Amino acid sequence: MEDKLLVYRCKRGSQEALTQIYRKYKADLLLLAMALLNDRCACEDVVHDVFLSFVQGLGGFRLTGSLKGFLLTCVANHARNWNKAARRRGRMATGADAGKPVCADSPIEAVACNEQLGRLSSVMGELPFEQREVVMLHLHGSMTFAAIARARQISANTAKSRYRYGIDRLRSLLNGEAT
Amino acid sequence: MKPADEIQRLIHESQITAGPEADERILRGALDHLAKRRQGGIAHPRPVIWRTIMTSRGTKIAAAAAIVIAAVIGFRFLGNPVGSTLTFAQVIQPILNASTAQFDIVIGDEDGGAPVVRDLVMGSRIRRTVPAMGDDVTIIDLEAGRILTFSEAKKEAQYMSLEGLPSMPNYMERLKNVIAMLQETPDFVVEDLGLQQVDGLEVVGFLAKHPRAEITIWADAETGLPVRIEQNEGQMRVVCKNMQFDVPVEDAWFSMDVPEGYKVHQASTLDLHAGTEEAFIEGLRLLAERFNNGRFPDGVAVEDYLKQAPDVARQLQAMDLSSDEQIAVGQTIQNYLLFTRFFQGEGEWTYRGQGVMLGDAETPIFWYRPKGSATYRVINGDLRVEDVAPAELPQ
Repeated sequence: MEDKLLVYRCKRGSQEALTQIYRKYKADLLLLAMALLNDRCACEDVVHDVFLSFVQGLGGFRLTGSLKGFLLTCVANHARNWNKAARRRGRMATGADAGKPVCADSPIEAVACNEQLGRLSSVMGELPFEQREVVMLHLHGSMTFAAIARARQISANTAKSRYRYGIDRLRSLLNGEAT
Repeated sequence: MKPADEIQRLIHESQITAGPEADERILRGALDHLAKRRQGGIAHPRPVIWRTIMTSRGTKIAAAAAIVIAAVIGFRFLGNPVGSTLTFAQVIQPILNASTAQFDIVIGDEDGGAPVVRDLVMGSRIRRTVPAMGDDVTIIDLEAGRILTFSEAKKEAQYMSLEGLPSMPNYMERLKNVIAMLQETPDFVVEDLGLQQVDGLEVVGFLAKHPRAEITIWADAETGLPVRIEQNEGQMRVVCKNMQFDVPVEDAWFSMDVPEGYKVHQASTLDLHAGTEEAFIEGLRLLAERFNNGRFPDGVAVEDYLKQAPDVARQLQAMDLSSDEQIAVGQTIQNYLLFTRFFQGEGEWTYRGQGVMLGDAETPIFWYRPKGSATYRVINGDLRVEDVAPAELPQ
């Protein structure tokens, strides 16, 4: 309900309310984007696009669940689009640039990640995007498989399978058994 | 350690920070868009405009009808107990036990500009005020099917007969019966939304889903008393908030007698069955021709009209119509609103008339399936109606 009030104030044009939403969830959203894309410039762009789309769609927006879940799903959707576009451009989203201090094509400072996030992004980057998405939404976003399935328009069984395959693959990676 | 635990640990220990510059880059586009949106006129009707509406005979009739028909029977509860500290059954119990109630109703989106309707309920009677619309008080007698509206400031009153509504000797009893009936319906689901904070108050939410309605009830987690209900019924959204039960009331507040010294205007009728397809088409024609520069309105639901009402009032004032003409306009809009509010067809209606010019014979603007019909009725931009097979409906 606190979020509902923030959304309500956003709908009435409150920049302060929008900023509050951003501050409240930015770490979660950036972390998800980083884990999904392993690219700090891209994760910044994705969260930027998510907030822009959020404001553009405020007119018809109705918060029926958790705002965090909604925004995380939006990040996953935008990240998926970014990933597809990157593939088209020949730049794979799994490229390990997590250690780079700044974006390759920008002189300005991007978001900063600690070592653990670097490792997280790195291992997640070994999974197919669909598995990464489900693993992160479930473990990081605390979303149920049913909620993920609804958001992704897949069956709950498919969501569970992707999670299971993702976890199996992570087991290999974390045990150093990856081939 | 299991891989999921390892990943969770990594997530837990992972940190990402965005400095002021990054924050600025990320949020700037959204903030700019929000500023433009604000400047671009998502303005809401202010009280003074609503008061203007209520001084015009025609728009007053239409607005009053919209207020009455939109929220005349606002609730349809569904439910079963669910596993939680508080159950859905416990949350609805105060409603079941109450003999009086007070609450605010908002029709449509809460920021959509629609006025807040304040209801006080006792037995079969509702005392309804709309603070943004001035001092008018409406007493609705659901048993007798009569409505009395009066203004203390102007010392004026008017009766309205409410036709087509089943007699309700007791509104709260009626609510209880509806709840009991729906609790026995097999195809509904209740989802526990868990605990959340509202203005420092811890509330628990329940989402009850039924094929014909979706209701979210928020209750004070400590007392179990409902504080807010959000209802999606058909294609209308009603939010009920600031709820209080068993509030002390006086019989005089619900009197259907006009106080002494008041001027009583000629009685009118609100027939809930008057919302025919023909009445709807006449309303579309009227709104497009006279109030929207030849274009159809942005939406045709009651809440859409409530948003448009200030513009209609302004234009009606400028038209310099006689009192009879204004009343005719008001009744046309009233009957037009009834069609979608008490929609009698199968499933949902579809409106695609936003921005379409009246007379555009090529563009379907509204379609619906009458009860028991295999085909749809499609209204085109020239207001010609066709019967169309489902496979040939516009996409």
